[in-house]
Amino acid sequence: MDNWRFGLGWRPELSAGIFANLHRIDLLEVIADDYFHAAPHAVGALRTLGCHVPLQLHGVSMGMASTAPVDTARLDAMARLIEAVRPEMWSEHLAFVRGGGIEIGHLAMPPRNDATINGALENIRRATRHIGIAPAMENIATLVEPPGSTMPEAEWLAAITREMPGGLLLDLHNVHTNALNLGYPAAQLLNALPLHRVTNIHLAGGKPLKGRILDDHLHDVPDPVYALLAMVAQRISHPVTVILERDGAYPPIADLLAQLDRARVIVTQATAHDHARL
Amino acid sequence: MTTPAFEAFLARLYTDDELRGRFLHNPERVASEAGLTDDEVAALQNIDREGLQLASRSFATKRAKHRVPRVHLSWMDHVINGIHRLISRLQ
Repeated sequence: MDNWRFGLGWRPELSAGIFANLHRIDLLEVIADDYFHAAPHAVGALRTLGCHVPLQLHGVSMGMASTAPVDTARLDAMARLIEAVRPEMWSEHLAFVRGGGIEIGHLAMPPRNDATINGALENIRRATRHIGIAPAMENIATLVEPPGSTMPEAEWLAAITREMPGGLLLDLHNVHTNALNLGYPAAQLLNALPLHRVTNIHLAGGKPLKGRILDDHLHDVPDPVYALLAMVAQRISHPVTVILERDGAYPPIADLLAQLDRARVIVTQATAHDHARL
Repeated sequence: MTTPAFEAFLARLYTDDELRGRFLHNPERVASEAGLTDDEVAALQNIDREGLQLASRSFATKRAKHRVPRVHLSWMDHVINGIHRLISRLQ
């Protein structure tokens, strides 16, 4: 697993535990939007954090997968933060988050059709031109099949991934969640994706909700997600960054590090198998 | 299909309880009144009703969390607070 890296989503609540265990954490992923309007000292502290451990910025509010153009003010805010913090890279979601001036409040899956493929690609290219660095784009989870969809998620995601300038941030809990919520085998989606475009992987946990899964990031990574990690690691030959996301109900840091270690072991075994085949 | 108008309608459907209630009672009428095209109205006819309700509730929970003002501490503040908590637990 040469050069695969394993890190955590930076949450200030975890900061003491993270600092005490930096030798076991290769990098941190920071929610960019938390710092768009932060005081200079908070951005300065983030820059200092970046002196200790590599940082990646993760945006959550641009709404890139939309037929509406992405907001210039948000691109400006991301550009300023990138300039101040100098992260390794930045990422966003293949989601729409607002429409007609109404904020949905979270990441929503757009109707999967040609119009949103074109809208997403246009927004990603615009963001790349504006900021100067192409974002990695993440697949999202959904509880509802988006009305107006004319193609399965695998086809929609693969079409965008093939054409977008940056890499794919493959959230494996979202793959697991949508497979159950929308009713298809998770492997079907992985089989359809150009996995050579995967640069990052997210791991997370959710909870059962009326026969579906809610991707709430408040629970441990479930076994099927580790199985998907093994599947992906076996199929790609380039190093990838793996981030464990946790957004609340924080367990002791040792529990999160144990989940990270389990991911390391799985990737080591999967890629060793690959090397043995070669 | 899928225009900014259709996305705007979906955003309302996910966030407006009153509109969603009327829509679930009569999808065709509410979608038509919103000025959507025939194709868009048809696409909304067979919406996953339970999924719509679950997703809308989930979005409402997220919006409620965003409304709680969060004191913006730097990571250094959090480290210091964490050390204080640890010390008070040990005492």
